[in-house]
Amino acid sequence: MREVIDLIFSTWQSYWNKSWYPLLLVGAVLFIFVSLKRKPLYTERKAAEVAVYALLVLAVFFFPLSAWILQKCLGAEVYWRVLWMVPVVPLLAYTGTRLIRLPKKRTAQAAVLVVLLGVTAVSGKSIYEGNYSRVHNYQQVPDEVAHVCNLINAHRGDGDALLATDNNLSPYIRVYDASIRMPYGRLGRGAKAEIDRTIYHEINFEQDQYSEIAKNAKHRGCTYLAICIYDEEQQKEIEAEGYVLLDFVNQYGVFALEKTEES
Amino acid sequence: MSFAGKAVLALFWLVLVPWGVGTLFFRKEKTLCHSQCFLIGYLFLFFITELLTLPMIRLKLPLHILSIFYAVIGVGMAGIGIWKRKKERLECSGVRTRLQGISGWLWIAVILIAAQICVASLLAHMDADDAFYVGTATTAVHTDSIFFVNPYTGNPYRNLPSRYILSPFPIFLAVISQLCGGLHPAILAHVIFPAVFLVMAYLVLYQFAELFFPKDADARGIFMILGCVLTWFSGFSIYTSGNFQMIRIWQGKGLLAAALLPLTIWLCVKITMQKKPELPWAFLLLSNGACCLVSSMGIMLSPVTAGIFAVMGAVRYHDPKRIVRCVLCCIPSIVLGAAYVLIK
Repeated sequence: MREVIDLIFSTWQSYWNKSWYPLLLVGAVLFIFVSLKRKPLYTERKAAEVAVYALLVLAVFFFPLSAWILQKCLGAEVYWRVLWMVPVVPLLAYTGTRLIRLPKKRTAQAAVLVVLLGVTAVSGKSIYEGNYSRVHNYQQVPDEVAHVCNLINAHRGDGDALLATDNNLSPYIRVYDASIRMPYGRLGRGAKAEIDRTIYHEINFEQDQYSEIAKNAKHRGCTYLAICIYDEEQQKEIEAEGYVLLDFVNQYGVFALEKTEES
Repeated sequence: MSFAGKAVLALFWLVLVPWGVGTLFFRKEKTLCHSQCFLIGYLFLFFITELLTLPMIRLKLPLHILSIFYAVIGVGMAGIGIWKRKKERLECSGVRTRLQGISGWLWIAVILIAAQICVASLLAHMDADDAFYVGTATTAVHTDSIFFVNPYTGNPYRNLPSRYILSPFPIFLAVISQLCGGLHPAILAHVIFPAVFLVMAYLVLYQFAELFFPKDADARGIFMILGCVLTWFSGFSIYTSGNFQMIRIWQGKGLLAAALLPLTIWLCVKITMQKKPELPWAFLLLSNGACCLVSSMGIMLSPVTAGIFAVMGAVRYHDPKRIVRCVLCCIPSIVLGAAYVLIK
């Protein structure tokens, strides 16, 4: 039970992460209840119902038994998603609107609105800080991924492509082009054989073993290899195993397995 | 087909069809509310996708069969809805009349929302979860199969991902991709879906505005401005519903957090917290089915939400039948929960 309670509080802290939104929420709920008349209007009653619901969700979230059940059902690592059920934005926006509508004059209302927008900005953090970037492909995957896939497609023609690459590119390769197969995907997922896991491990965590990477990739039948190349020696080690360099995409060398007469 | 042609098809399948389907559910109303038609239409289409997809996964049918079924049902119901509306001459609050009644505050909110949509659609957010969510759709379209090929590798699945197949939202993306003339699922997910689903999320918020301020247009506008800005500044952690809404709404869980859970709350207020429900209980069933499609979290969180409201309603009106009705509306969750335990 101790673990359940610890998780409740750590989840709460990481969800709000020093923002003032939970304080604003408490303020909003208090405002809704305090301003409730003895015979409330229909709209006030509706707001109070949503506020009561929010409190009940929080009770479910904090009560150890219900928390334990939800953690078992949802998974402890995603327990924070229970907080999605709290209607934070509708309740805060409702309270804010009631406060703004208190003064009669439109200019005064605009002034209160500006103050509340300022409070909101200070209380939270803009979603646009570091979350968006500009890319030059319509699929909106990293440009490196698009270039690597385009290089491979230009080289293979109608042939099959089995590509081994690192964890920076692998999550997006098949999002951009599902005709390119891979021995493993994001974080090594989908790897079937031991050799797939070996290549994944070597390419992501033991980048000095270029010769081993190329040897294993060739053994696995990887027709393409996209790997960061930092010096000429590394490139030579890969080429020594039968791969030829197609081109560089930023730091990534894109190699194709040379077709031998046997194959 | 040209890109413009595909974009027109996307508009048809993602806006017109859901709205048309939604009109069927408001035939008894004196006036049609476009936003409610759009939202309920989506709930129905999501629920239908869930109902169609699960047996087709079991039968290993190709994706195009699912797309055909979806198209026939979607267009058929939208057609019937629009035809009935014309026939019964349902009064429809015209767009022109509505535009004239919009307050200046709401126009500011609309500008803010439009700016958010532009950012979400035109700029890129990299999320490695796409390897599965969008990867499943690109794989399904490429192989014309449903959950037969592993999106991480392109090899056939050895064991199906039991948790994900019960909430096959990526397959909805694949179906729409096929219906839009093969519009690449990644373009659909990253460019088109944010535009449509952000509108959807804000339409849900607008339902709350109408609930709280039915006779005050200015207050509704102010409410929407505050809603936009509150969401905009909810980037304080990667877990918040606002974060999911603004940066990865194309993933099922993002849509759940941004639109479907708030919509379920609004429906509950309108249904369980009224002496005489303002909307049919069936909408809660649709909402539960839709939540099941978009995310495995929806299978659990939707009934918890409905359950809390059912208890509140039962206590308030001394009517335990509300709990029974709520349980009936959560049948999709109950069935899928049991299925998950069985196939895990």
